[in-house]
Amino acid sequence: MDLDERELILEAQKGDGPAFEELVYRYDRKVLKLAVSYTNDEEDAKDVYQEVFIRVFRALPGFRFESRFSTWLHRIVVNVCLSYKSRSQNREYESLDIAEDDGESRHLEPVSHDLPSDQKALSSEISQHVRAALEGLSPQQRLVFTLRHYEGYKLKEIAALMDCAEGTVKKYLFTATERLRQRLRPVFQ
Amino acid sequence: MRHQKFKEWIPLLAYDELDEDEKYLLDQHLAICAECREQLDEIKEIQQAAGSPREPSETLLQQARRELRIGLRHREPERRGWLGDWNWSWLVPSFRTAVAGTVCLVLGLTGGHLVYRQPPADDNSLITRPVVRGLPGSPGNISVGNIRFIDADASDGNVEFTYEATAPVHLRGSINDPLIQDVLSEALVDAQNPGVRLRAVSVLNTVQLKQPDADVKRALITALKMDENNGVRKQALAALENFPVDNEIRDALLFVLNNDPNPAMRIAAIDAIRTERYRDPEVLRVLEEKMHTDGNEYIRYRSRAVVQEAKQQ
Repeated sequence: MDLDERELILEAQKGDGPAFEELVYRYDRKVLKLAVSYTNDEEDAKDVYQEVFIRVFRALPGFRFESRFSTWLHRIVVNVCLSYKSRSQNREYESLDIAEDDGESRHLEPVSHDLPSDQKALSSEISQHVRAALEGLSPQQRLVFTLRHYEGYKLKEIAALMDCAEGTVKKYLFTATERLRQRLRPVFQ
Repeated sequence: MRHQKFKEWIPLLAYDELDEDEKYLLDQHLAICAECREQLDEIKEIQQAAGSPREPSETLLQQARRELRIGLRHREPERRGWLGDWNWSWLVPSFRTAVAGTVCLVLGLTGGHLVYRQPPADDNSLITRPVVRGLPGSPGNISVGNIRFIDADASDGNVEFTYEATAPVHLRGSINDPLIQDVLSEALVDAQNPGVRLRAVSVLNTVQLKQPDADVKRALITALKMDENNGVRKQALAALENFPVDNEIRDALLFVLNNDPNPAMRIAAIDAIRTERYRDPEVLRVLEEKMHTDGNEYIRYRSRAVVQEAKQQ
């Protein structure tokens, strides 16, 4: 199908299934990629993906072209990520207040630098520690970090997507990096 | 300026979010503050360790699309409430035989399972009444499984979930019977077990199919484009060759040629579209592109051969 996006959306709004399919296919790889980065779990990522496009499906008739479709879609992605609860259900998010942190990193074991010089394995292990540490962040902190670090959004854009002030996003990024530093310090030492 | 303010700017520096004046001021501070330099170094280490985003695999993407199709099936009544008639044939073939709004699924010719759901509620709300009433123990030995909670928080008095209800059904009849075609199409698109999907598509791949049905064609195209199992996709492609030529099938074959990760499938797509039936400028354009860009040497060779053959005619 070679329709431009507006025409595609209009067709999908009228109930054209293939047009909706085409619309999904234009964006779903990126949505899934973000979901994988955010959840760090393929099953959870599929849940986020599904919830996003079900919400798109439900809300599409109300889309009035007042923003770009991609912006509208990414706002939905952001909202789904923020409200999503992992299947594991056992993750506890930490307080936004850094002062409450006791500085302990009890979940993380230092990476042994005495291992045979397999840099790839070491790098992978450190990367796993980072991913695990990200799971300890609040949804907002984790989302801001994911959008900025992995997806390359500017903080101003993230603020627009999250419908909050840029200063708030800066605070989330600062808090996220502080928490990651505290938790990962033993890994890097 | 206070030390704490500079600390807050450090991640912004690491992520290039400061303007030139702010950078200058922070650089001045970093020159005299070891604690902030350490903070910056640690953030840079985290950035390096966090690495790049992971690209989801093609398999994961196809699984997600497949689960989305199933998920959207449960939303169809809601959308109909908004828009009335929706063309859902791209998702699943519609059942023409209404059994009080129940959708059934037969897994094979000699037996299988029935998957059904209740007809939509009278109003547009999804969460107004229980979908199942007295299901366990009801006639027909129907059992409920694979419950997937969408909203498990009952604090507002409502919950929402999807589920599968199964019961054995025996169906016997002509391959040209619309119900049998619908059931097989349903199995092809929605069965969880790839073996079942493979059997369903194998059954549909027959010249005995006298009256190719639009819903069957849609199901075959969906399987061809999206099934994660190579065998199912290959059988779907073969079955589509029994259908009259049209742009939908041509586009599906081009989709395979452009997107299928399996080189054997892309070769099969070339073999299918190389016939006179699909000889048109769009096909040639894609083949000309593939003869330069495909990662598989044989596919580049085959594409070139077909293009040359077409130009000589």
